[in-house]
Amino acid sequence: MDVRCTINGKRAILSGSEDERLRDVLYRSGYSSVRDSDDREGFAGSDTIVFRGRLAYSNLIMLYQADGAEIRTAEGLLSGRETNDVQDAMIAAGIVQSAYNAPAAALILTWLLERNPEPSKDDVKEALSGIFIRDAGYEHYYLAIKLVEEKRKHGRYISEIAPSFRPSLRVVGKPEPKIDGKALVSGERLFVEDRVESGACILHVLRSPFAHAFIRSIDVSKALEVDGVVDIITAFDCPDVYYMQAGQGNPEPSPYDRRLLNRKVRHVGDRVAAIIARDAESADKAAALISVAYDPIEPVFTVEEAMAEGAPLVHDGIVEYVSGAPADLDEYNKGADEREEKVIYQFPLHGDIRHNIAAGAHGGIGDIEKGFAEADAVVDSTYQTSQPQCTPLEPHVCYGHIEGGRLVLNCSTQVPYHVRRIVARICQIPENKVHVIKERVGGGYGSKQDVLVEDLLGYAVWRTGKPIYYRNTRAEEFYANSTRHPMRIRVKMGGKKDGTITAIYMDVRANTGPYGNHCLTVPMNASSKTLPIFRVENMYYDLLTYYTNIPPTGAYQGYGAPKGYFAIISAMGELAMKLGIDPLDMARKNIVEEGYMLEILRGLGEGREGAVVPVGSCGLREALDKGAEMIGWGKKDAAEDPDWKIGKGFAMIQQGSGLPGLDHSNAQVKLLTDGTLIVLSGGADLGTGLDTISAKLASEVLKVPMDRISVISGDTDSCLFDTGAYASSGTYFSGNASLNAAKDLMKKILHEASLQMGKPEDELAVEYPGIVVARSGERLTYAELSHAATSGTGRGQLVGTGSFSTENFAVPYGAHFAEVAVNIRTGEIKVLKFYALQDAGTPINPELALCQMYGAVMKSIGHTLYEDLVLDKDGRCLTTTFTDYGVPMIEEAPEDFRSVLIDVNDQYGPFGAKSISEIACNGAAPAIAMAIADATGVWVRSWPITPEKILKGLGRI
Amino acid sequence: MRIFHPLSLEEAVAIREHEKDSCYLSGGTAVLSLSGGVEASAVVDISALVDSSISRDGKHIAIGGGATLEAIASGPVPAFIREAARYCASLQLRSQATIGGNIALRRFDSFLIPSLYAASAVLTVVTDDGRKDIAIEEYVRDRGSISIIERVTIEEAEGESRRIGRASHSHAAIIAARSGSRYCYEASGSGVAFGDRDSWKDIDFRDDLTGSAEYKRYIASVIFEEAR
Repeated sequence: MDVRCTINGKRAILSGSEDERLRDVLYRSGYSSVRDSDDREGFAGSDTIVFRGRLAYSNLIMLYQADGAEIRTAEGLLSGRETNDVQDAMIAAGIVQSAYNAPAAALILTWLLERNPEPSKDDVKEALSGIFIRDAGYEHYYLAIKLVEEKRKHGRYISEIAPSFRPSLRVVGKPEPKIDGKALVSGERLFVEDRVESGACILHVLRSPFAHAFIRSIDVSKALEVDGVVDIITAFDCPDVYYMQAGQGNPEPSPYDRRLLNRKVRHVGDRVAAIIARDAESADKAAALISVAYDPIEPVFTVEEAMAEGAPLVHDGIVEYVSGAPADLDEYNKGADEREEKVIYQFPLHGDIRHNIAAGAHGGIGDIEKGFAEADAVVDSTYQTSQPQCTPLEPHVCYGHIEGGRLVLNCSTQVPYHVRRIVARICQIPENKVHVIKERVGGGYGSKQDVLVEDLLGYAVWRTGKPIYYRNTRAEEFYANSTRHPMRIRVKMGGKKDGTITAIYMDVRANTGPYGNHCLTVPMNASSKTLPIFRVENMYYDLLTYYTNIPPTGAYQGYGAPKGYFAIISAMGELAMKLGIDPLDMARKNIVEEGYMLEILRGLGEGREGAVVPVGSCGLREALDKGAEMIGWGKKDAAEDPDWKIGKGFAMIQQGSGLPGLDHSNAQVKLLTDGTLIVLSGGADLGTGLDTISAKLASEVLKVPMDRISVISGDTDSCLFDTGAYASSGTYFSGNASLNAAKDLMKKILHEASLQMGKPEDELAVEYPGIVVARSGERLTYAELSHAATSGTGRGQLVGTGSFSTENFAVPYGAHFAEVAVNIRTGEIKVLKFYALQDAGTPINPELALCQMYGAVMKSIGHTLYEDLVLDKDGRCLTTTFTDYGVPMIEEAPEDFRSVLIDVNDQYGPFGAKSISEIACNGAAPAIAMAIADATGVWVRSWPITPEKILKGLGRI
Repeated sequence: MRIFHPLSLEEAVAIREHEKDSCYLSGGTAVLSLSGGVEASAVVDISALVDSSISRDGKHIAIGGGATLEAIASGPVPAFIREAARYCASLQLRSQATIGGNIALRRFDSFLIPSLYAASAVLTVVTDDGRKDIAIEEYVRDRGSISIIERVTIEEAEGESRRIGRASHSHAAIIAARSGSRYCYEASGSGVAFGDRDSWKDIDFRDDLTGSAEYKRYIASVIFEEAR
């Protein structure tokens, strides 16, 4: 049907079927700002439009209902290509990050300001009540509104957007518009879905209804007869290639324990068949006609079940080692089940699949028993974390086609080069036949480090030669994607009455689910990112990771550190309570400081011996002191209502900046013929502003304005190799590569200028904005220099190349403080205040850094209090929508919420920078748990901390 | 999905009589939502037929069945009903969802049913046998009814409404309201009870995503306790 309506003030005709959702019709009609994050749940708000004057979810409107309607989308906010003042303020405030629903947010705020030019905080909260922001939190939305008001009233922004650092630098450490901010907030076609060509096929995955079963046979004959079905791939005709989806550096510290499709399914939702069809309807029909004969096996879901004697084995095939095979491997393999897939370790991870153990590690320093013997008190508690899901607003998605005999993949990934390697391996083709283009990523948070859809889509395209599109449903994101590894962490901690911690022992039992993605590295982080913050002589950890039949796990911002911190800081709080001393005093007495030699690192290498290094730049004590002052530590507050009890808690935290010794980044900076620059970075900007960092670094070194620099990143054809954006590596590794490339180009510019100007290099200097100046006063602009270099008699275009690898650590530190109110009658919990203080070295993009801290804390508050992926007794996920799962929205944000950047200059990071956002996931759980204990005396030792658990702790139920 | 566009409420009821696998479409936030719990192959669109006004005559307040939750949240209704409308935490949803739809779904975490019961709500419904007025609890109990809520009439009243849930947008474990001696309790996944302060005891509490039966039973028992 054709529907006549008005869109953004102009008459329009929308065509489609009567019951088609308006969102789909609008997107198809070119309004690409109207996106879908929730499959018509009516939750995330990416599909928000103004419909007949009111905010509405366009997914919940059918086409016929739009007849005669006045519709507004974010496209209507633009004047030509110019963004409106609300969009500009959003960019300035730093909230345009992964930006999948940033255009919708801009529309909402514009609508609000039209109705109410001076909205209160509550008005803003109300307007944003129906939009889910995962990346940047909500705090700077209030700031954006304020900036708009100021600009309208005074012609300029008056409020401080973010503090500035390093006065001698022009752009590094200063709030500067993100270079892709305008494109993102405008709703430009920047995401994978925007690349899909008309007529492309779709990929549909038939998934297992069983948590654990052998596939005896699959009959696809009837399905193949369905019109529109192009091909069906099953375990019986897919490549016999083993690999790992974790998206880690090669060789991976995760076992190759899967093929594209396996003869044994290991979780509800595991792949059974891949249907390639002309349209979704054909694929659905085909899926219903595929006949699968399963032999179900008893599943295991928890660590306890997996470790039980005689437990069903999730993997029981042949084990192989690429290197370091144990001497008794043949004996070990004698009992292997021939029906099972292999498990291939690249090097020993101390796994024992015959006991469901995927990986193990242990290590420590000192004499742990001696330490406990010296203690005046010892606590020994066990903490359980849950299985939070990253919930990026853009689900996992991939589009591929063949071009010139090569496989071209448009990806939303954190690891384009690992995607290239893994897909090439699966397709059994060399890497030069694969071109991966990282598009804008609508939220990653770790889950797009895992190569979860590109593997199957890539092979399907290569096999069929067809252009194919795949996108996870929101439900698939929950049950067939990746999640945090649930962990059971026992912490034994001893201390003296003076607050000295004498010994710490951690026993980490992690649940990796059906496959071993990150089975060593994520659980290792529970210890490797926590123990090194303590100046304690006796520390030891044991780690075992178990296979089970829960939905897959993988990387998630913070890796295992948020869980480790929940356990170890809670234990410290419990110990302090037992000793009758202030936990903050205990923290101050036992934290590391700059120069302290981290002997503990020797036993914390991930599958290898770790390097012992001293603590580098460290703002930890300052963060603790400042946070304590801000929150009024030691002052007991009381609510007027006696049912509500108020308490305070804190956590000191650290993370890393990439993986020294493992990560590697490369970049190039090209001088164009007009003197402008293009940075080619291997780094994958996930919306966090890495491209802006690359541009700023080039701008500082080469002394050119930001608008003369463009950045291309994450394109495996155009850009040089980079291990990818994970483990907080972006700023430190990819940033340093860009910095080195810029420095290299500067050397070449001076050399070329010397030849062109006839002056020695040591008599030349570069001045802003890109002018070579000789001591004698002669001047040569970059444009002049480059033009001559590329002329018929020139020496060629100037290109700087830089790489970065290091053994040096640039560790960010911080302290998070929480104040909560707990209702002892109902168990309700309110986070009243949250202060996140972090040392990020020199925050290159301070406004983006602050917002990433807010976003990470909100995720962490979500994991702590609300989010819960629940399975039934058969392993079926019961929480396949946002509502069921329970993510935090603006209403859940603490009323008093502040992020503070501690000014520390790091010796190794680019211009002193360290990482920012992963660490911010580490503090909320322990700080809130401690605050609840302070308020009620109840330590809740499992996620999520629910009212019900508090009431149980209080003995009310 | 087949869509019917009746010209009157009576015609709408008649269509539903014949189309067994059908439902009414008012605001659409449940019917069109994948997680709305409504499954039907046909919808009967009554959105243009149902009055959406809110009017007041002395102590009597008449709310059209098509009034949105947002209109109620800011309308001339008792404060505890305004608050209850806001239990639908999304402005977008509140701007689309209607009072008629919210009642008709008869969910055990309905935003409005407890408060409307507390306010002695009487529903004017259109049935296949004409219009009639029935008490809200009667309508809720008759789960098979296909009548259309044309109007909700309440009395001005002092009251209190409570929602206990983990997060603003997650399912509530308990929603309850009271006014005078009229109490109503809803327990997620369990049931709804109308009556006096102890009427929560009539609910067969069940475990679900919002918490255990034991937890919900406890909350229902204390939700209207005065602060200690």
